[in-house]
Amino acid sequence: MNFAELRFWQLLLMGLGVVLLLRAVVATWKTEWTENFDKVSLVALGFMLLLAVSAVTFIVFLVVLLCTYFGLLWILRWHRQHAPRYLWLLVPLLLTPLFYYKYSDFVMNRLFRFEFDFFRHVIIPVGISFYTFQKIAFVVDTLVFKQALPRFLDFANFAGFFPQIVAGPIERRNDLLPQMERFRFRWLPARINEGVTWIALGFFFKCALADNLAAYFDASSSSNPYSIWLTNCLFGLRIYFDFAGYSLIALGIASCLGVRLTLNFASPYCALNVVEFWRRWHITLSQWFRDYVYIPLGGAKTRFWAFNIMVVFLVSGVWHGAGWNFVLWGALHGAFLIAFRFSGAWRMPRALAWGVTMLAVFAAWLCFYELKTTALLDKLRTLSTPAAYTLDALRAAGHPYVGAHGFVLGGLLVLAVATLILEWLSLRIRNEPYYYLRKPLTVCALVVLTILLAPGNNNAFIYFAF
Amino acid sequence: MLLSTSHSDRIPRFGVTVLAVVLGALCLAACYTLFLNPEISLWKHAYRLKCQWSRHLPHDQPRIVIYGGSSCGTSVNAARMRTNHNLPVINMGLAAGFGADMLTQFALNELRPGDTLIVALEPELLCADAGLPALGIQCSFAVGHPEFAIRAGASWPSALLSLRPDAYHCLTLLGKMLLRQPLYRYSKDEIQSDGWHAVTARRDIPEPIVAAFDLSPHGHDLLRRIREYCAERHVRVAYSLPWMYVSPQQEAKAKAGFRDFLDQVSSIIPVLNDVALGTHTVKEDFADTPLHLKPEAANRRSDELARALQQWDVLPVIPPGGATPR
Repeated sequence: MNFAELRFWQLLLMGLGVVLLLRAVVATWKTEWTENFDKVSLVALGFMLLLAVSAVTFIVFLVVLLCTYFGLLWILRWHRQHAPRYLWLLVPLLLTPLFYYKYSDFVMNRLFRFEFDFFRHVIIPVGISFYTFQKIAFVVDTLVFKQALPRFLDFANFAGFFPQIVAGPIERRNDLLPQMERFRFRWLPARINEGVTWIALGFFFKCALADNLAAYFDASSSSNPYSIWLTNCLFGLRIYFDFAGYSLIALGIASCLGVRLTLNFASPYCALNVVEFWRRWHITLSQWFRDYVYIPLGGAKTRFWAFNIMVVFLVSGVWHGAGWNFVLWGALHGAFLIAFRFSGAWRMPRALAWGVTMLAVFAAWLCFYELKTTALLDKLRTLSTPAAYTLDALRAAGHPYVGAHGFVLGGLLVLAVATLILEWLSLRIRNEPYYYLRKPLTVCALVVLTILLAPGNNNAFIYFAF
Repeated sequence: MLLSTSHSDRIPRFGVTVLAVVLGALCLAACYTLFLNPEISLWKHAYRLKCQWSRHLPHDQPRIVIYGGSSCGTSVNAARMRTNHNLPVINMGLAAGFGADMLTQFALNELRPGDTLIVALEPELLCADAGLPALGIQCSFAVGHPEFAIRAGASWPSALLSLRPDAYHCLTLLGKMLLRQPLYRYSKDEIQSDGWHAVTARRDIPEPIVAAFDLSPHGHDLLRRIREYCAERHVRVAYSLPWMYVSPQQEAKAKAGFRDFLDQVSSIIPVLNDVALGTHTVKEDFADTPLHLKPEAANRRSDELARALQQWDVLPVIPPGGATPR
């Protein structure tokens, strides 16, 4: 379900066309059936789009969906008195496919060195990390907070609402389920107008910025600190524009259908500290970890708050990928947060605070993209060696960018920085993320820029791999 | 659908505006691409000259269509081969940026039963994964043959959406305009009436990276399809390796790599014999890239090709695992 592919839009429009045609027939025949028809159609549309990704993706999703619902049904019907205890049964059951597809190779072959070839070739079904977490949250909310089990159709729409299946936002029961229970195919011009701005902005982020910056991403150098920093910057910008782009398109499609999804990014590169960064980056995942890991561990109210933070970020690192680099990435962010908490009331000037935060965040991106542990350690060593920062190294780092490629990369970076400045102004002046990027004239300009600048071949969204 | 009552409220005006901007921008981008883009204009001009040359060749005689990327366009002097060797050659070499599938479609269009087809695609093109670069699709539309793109595997919607520039094109064009440089490095004057591209630009030739060439599954499939197409139409087919600059130090390694590559190719279609195995160590023979020959060297390449064609000096098709001729 790649929003940047023509095929997705062809399938979506075709599916919607069929649904609306059938709906018109149903409405003339039995008007009272349209409510259920709308819900069934939305489930069918989501399943059809997921099946178009791959059969395995669809089957695994369906298995997790059925296990969640019927597991809950069984617990609530037969064991209602001790329902929370059954979390220990249902949550591991839901985590089993995620563990098998995502972590079996890492655990069996890299951690325990069993050398099982079979696990090396396991392909991760798209979106498994996202929908597994969404369903775990649903299970916890239902069993611990004693919320009623919805109709299966509403649950299927909650879990299978297609804009958010494969890469979030990880929507919560209280936000999305009521909307799904009320769902009807409605023609809502105001919501369509709003959705179009998000879709246009998302496409600009993904196609004009992320996909073009991806062409200049070269992680081959491990001895030149300037090259490593440049790669970190390019990766940091690319992953933001890529993932935020996807999330914004999802938000826009949902808005056109009359559904409000959570804004998953809120200009994270404008953050003045790491706590704020995590309140603005992948917001629904951060909230998930806060509510289902950090607070149950005791949160900030225990003596072990630092330990709790570290646990949350280590799990967050592992959620992103099965590899030591992701563990290190999580540990680094955990350490940043703990250091920030220890700094207490000590405050830096805003510009300096922003600079230090970005330095930390962009340095940590190295641990995200460099999957090979030895190369990662080499690069970290290079970055932390003052003697490596020589004038010759600077010249060598700039050498590949002399001429046309340098001009193109420069132009793209100017565009990316201009976008970030507009994000900053949106927060500073209006306190509303992306406000100036969603003004009608800006949106029209972004549409033109996307058409002129998008490369012919688009890359898959980075977070599909998670 | 639940519709609101007021007609004006029912139209998502901004959504419609954005849709209009999308369509308008796509149309303008397509117009620019097809009529103003300097690179497309050059290849459109080159293609027209090649077609004109093809029309002027005797119709009752089998012809020889040689095609590939720019290495072919710059190295095959069809007029010389006709005058000096009495060979009715059509140089259908265009640009490697078209991709192997599109270049093949441009060439097959000139092919008639009984002709000879010489595949002179750069090894990189046959070792790459499947893909239709936008340049080839754009050019097929610009020359009035969108069916080339469709036959090569593009769908109509994706082909139409390819008719637009990209960041590299826009930003480098902007840079050239700011620096008052020519908008494209080659000019139409360089294309001769027989379609031979006599490159006038001179640049220091960078040392090419000598790598092993492994025929990709897509390259394998393309050659197999060419073989079947030619067999159905009684067209003789062979592969000819382009000439490439390699330093004397790299020569042995490059030759070994090309020999392996030709072994793979010759398991599908015959290969025209080239004792140098495509490697040339005289830097001065090359104009601006390790694959673009200067006119004098192009004449030599044309003469050698003419000799091989006249004698049909080919390495026969070797089934996989069979003995390799050296």
